[in-house]
Amino acid sequence: MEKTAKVSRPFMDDLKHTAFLWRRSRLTMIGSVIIVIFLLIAAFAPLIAPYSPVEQNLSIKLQSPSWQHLFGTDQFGRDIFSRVITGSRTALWIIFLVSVISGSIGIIIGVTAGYFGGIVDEVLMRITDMFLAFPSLVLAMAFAAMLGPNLTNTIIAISIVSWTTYARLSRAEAIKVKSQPYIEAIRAAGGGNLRIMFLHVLPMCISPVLVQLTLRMGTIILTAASLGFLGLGVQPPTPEWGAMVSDGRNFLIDQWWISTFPGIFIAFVVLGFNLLGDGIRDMLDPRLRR
Amino acid sequence: MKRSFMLVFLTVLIVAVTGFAATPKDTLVIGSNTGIFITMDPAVAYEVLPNKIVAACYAQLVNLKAIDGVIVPVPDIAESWEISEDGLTYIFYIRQGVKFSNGDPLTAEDVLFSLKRPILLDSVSAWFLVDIFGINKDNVDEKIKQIDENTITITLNAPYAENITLGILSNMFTGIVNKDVVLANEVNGDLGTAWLADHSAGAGPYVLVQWERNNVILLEANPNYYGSQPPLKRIMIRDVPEASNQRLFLERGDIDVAWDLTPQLLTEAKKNPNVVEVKVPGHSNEYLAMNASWGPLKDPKVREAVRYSINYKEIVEDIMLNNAMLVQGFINKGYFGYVEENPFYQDIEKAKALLAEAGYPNGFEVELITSNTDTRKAEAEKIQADLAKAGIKVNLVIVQSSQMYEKYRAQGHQMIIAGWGNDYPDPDNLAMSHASYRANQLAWRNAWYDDYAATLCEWGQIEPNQDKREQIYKDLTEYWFHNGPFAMLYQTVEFWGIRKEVKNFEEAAFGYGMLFDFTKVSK
Amino acid sequence: MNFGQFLLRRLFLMIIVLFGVACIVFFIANIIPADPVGAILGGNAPPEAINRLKAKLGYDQPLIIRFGNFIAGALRGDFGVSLKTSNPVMKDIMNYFPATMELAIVAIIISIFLGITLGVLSAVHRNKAIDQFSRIFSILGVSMPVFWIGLLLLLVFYFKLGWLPGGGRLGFFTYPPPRVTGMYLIDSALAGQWDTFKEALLHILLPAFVLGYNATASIARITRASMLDVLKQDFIRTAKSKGLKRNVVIYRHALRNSMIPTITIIGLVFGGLLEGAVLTETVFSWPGLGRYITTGMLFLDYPAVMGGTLYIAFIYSLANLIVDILYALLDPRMRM
Repeated sequence: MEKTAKVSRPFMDDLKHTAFLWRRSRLTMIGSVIIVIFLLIAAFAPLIAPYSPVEQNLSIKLQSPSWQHLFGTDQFGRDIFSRVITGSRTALWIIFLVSVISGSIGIIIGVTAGYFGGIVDEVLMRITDMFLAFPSLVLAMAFAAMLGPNLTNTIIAISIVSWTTYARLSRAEAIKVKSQPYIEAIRAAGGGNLRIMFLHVLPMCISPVLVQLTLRMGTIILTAASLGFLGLGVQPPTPEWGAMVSDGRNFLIDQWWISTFPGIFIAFVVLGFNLLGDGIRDMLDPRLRR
Repeated sequence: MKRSFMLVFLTVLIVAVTGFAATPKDTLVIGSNTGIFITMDPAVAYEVLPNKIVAACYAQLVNLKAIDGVIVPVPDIAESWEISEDGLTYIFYIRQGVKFSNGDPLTAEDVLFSLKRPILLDSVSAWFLVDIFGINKDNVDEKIKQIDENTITITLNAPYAENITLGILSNMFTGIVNKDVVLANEVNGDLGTAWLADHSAGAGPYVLVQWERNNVILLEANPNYYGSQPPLKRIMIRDVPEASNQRLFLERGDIDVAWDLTPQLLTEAKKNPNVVEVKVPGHSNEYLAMNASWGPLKDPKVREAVRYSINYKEIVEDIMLNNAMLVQGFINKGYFGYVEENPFYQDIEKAKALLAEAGYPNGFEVELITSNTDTRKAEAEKIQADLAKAGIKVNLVIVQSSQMYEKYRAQGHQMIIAGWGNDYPDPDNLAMSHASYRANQLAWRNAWYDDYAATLCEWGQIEPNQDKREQIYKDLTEYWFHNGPFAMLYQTVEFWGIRKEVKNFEEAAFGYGMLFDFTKVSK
Repeated sequence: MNFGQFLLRRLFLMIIVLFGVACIVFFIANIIPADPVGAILGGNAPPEAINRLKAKLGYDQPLIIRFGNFIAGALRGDFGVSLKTSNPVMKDIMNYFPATMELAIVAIIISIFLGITLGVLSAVHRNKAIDQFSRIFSILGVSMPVFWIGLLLLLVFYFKLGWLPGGGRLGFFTYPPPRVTGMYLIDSALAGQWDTFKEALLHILLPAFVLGYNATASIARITRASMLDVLKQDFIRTAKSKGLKRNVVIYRHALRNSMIPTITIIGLVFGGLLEGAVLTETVFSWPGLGRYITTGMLFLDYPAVMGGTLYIAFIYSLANLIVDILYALLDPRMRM
C-alpha cells in the first residue's frame, strides 16, 4: 500500500524529501562519501598509483612505510600503496559482477516463484532452501575448487551462493504486487504472463533488491577474502585485497603493513556500503518518511 | 547491562593472568599442521612427518642411519643378510630376543606377516614392492618366505644394486607389527589396518598412546625397547594449522618445536633469545617442469630459454632466505653421482635470443600450475615476474596439491612447480623419476620420451660397479641439463625453530625426509 | 491448519531440502576434477598404484550406483568411511561436532547478550552517541575479515599480553574431562573438575567472541529496528501515559514485544555460526567439524566432506525448524 502512495506523490517532491533525509543522516552521508572516494580511486587508479602494482624488486622487499613507499613494500618489493590502489579496481569488478549476477538470478527465480505460485513456487523455494541450508563458504569453496581458481570463477562461486536472499525478497514483493488491482486490469486487457511478469511485476521488485544488494556488497569482498584465506581466490599477481590480507598474515607481527593496509581498505569500503545500505533502507522505510 | 558484561569480561581476563607453564622436562612438544595426516599403520603411512612418527613406534627389517653425513641402510630387526649368487634373493637373519611394546617376543613369523601385509592390503606405499620388485598378491607366497625360525628370504625380479634393494626395504612398510595383536583387532579381513591407524603394535622406541585427529598425537617411551631407553619419555605433536600461530606458541614457550615455519617466520622468530634455528640438508628438490608435448615447450630451445630466464640466486636468497641449496642437477648433494656444476643463471638477452631462434621473438603465453603453500605461491610469483622479462606471459593457476597432481599425472599441465621427495637414498630413485619416461613418473608426466636417457637410467640400476654407476649418473645429468624438461630450482633445506633448552635436535633431524631419530633429542 | 499438520508439513519439507542438499553435495564431490586417490598417494606414486587403489575404493563404479549407495547410506546415518581417518564418517562427526557446537553455543550466548544490549540501548538513545557507537561497533564487525580479527586478537591477548591462551580447547597438558556430551564446559562441570572448566572457558573466549562478532552485529541491528517499531506503537504510548517508569516500559513491555524478529534472526545467524566456524577453527586450532570439512576438502576426502556438509545442513534445518515452531506457538497466523 505504501508503495503506491509513494508513487502517486509528485516525483520532484519525493526526490527533495529523499535528499533531505539523506542530509539529515550523518552516517549515510559518511557512507556515501566513502563510496564516492572508492569509486574515484578505482577510476583514477593508474594515475594515483606511483609504481607498478606487479613489478618485483627484491632488493627493496619488506620495507616499512616511508615517504617513498607510503604503505611500505611486500615480500617481493612491490609497492603496497600502488597495489592497494589498483586492488580497488579488482574489488569493484567483483562487487559489480557478483551483484549483477546474483541479483538477476535472485530476482528471476523470486519473481517467477511469487508470480506463478503453486507448484512452481514450491519447487523454486525448496531449491532456495537447499542453497540456504548449505554452508555457503563450503559451497563457494567447492565451486571454486571445481571450476579452478581465478577471478572469473571466484565471481561465479560467490554469485552462486549469494542469490538466495534476493530470491526470497523479490518473491515476497512479487506476491504483494500481483494482487494489486492494476495488474488485474492489465491481465483483463489481455497482457500475457511473461509480459506482466517482466514489465510490471519485476520492476517493482528491483528497489528492495537494490537496497539489499547495497547492504551485501561488503559481504562480497569479505567472501572473496575468505576464499583467498582458504587458498581459493584471485590468482597472483592481480592485486586483490582479500588475497593481500591473507598472504600477509604470516608477516602480521613484524611487517604489519603488508596485511594491515589492504585490511583497512576492506573495512573502509565495507563500512561505506553498510552505512549507505542502512541509510537507504531507512530512507525508503515509509514509516520513517512520514 | 553492558557494564556488567564488561565486569565479567575483565574478571575473566584477570583470572587468566595466572600465567602459562613451560613444557615439562621429559616431554618434547611439537607444533605442526597435522591436517594432512592419514594413518599410523606402517604398511600404509606415506607422508613425511607421519612416517617418521610411525618409524618411532616400529622396529623395521632394515633401517636408515646417517653415518658421516651419508644416509645408509643399517641392520635393525634383520641382524644381518646375504645375497644369492644371481643377486635376486636376499636372505635376512632375524635378531633374537627382541620384544614388542606389550612384552610379546618378536619372531620371524611376525616379520613374514608384516612384510606380506602391505601387499595383501594393496597398500599404496608398497608400490615399490609391486612396481619395482614385481611382488604382487599372486606371487607373494613365492617371493617372501620364512625358511626357519630366524630366517626370511625375499626374491626380486632383477639383480638391483644392493643399495637400491636395501634402500627400498628401509621404507616404513617394513615396520614389524605384532601379528597376534593385529589379528585380534582385525575387522572384516582388513588385517587390522583400521585399528593400526591410531594404535601401534611395534617394537620401536616409542608407543603411540593417543591420536585425537586435528588435535594431538602422543607417543610414550616403550619400556620393552631392545635398544637403550630414549632420554625423552613423551613426544607430543599438537595440531597447529597456521604457521604464524606456531611461531607465537614457540616464542611463548608453549611448544618446543615449530615444524612448519616459513623462512620469513623463522628469520623473525630466531630474534627471540629463547629460540634457535636448526637447519639440515633436505632430501627433496623443487623444480619447474615443462610439458614437452605442449606448444612452444616442445622445442628444446624454448625450454633452454626458460632455464636462462629464471633468477635462481634470488629464489634461494630472497624467497627462501637461504633455506635452500642451489643445486641444478637432479641428484641431491650428499648422494653419489652428485654433479657440482650449476650451468644456469639469469641471462635475459640469451633467453630472448634463444626464443627468437625458436621462432618466438615476442614470447608466448603459458599456464603455470602449482599447489597453494606459501612457498610455492611465492616461487610461482617470482618465476612469473622473471619469465615476463624474457617476454613469456605466465598465467598462474594455484590449486590444492591433489588437484595439481591430478592434472600433472594426466599430462594436462603446461608448466608446473612441484618437488620430489626421495623414497630411498640412492640416485636410482632420482634418475628413474626425473629422466626415464619408462618409469611412468616425472619424465613421463612431462612427456619427455627420451630413449637415450631412459636406457642410461636402466643401466645404472643394475650396474654392480659403484664407480661405473657414478659415471653413468654424471653423464646422464649432463645430457639432462640441456635436453630435459626441467629447470631445477633448488635442493631443499629442512628447517625448524626450536626452544633453546632442546638439545641434540640437529643430530636427530639430520637426514630428515628420509629419517628422524627422536631417540637422540633431549632437554 | 492445525499444529500437527503444520509440523508434519515442515518436517516433510525439511526432508526434501536435505535430499536436495545431498544431491548437490554428491554432484559437487564427484565433479571436481581432482583425484582423491592421488591425494592419498602423494606426488611420487606411479599410475599403476593409483588405478589399484581406485578399484579398491570403488571409484571405478558408475556414478549412478555410487549415488544410490550414498543416499541409501545417508538415510541410515552412514556416510561411509573417511578416506583419511579410516573411521566411519559418522563417528568422526560425532567426535568433532561437540567442539563446534560448544563454540557456536558460547558464541551465540555472547552475541545475544551483547547484541540485545547494544540494540536496546541504541533504540532507546536513538541517534545519540551510544547509537552511533553501537552502529560503528557492529558495522566494524561485519567489515573485517573474520580470520584477520582472529589473528589480531591472538596477537594482542595471547602474544603481547599473555592473558588468554593461543588456541586449542584445553591446555596442552590437561586431559579432557570424562566424555558425556563432548562439550568440555559441560563435561568438566558435570565431573566437578573446576580447574578444567576454567581452562576450557579461557580457551573458548576468544574464538567464541570472534565467531559471534558477526552475529552480534546482526542481532543488535534487528533488535534496534524492532525496538524502534514497538516503541512507536500505541500500547507503549499508553503505558507511558499511564505513568509507568521509563525502564519498566522499555524492558518489560517494549523488549518483550520486539523479541519475535530477534528470535528469527538468532535462528538464521546460528547457521552462519556453524559456517563461520570453518574460518575461526582454522585460526584458533579448534578441532571441530568446520576444520574437519576443510581439511577433508583439501584432501578430497569426499565421504568426509559430503557427510560433514550434510550434517551441518541438517543441524541448520533443524535450528530453523525449531525457530518456526517457536514462531508458530507465539503467533498462530504464521502457520501457513
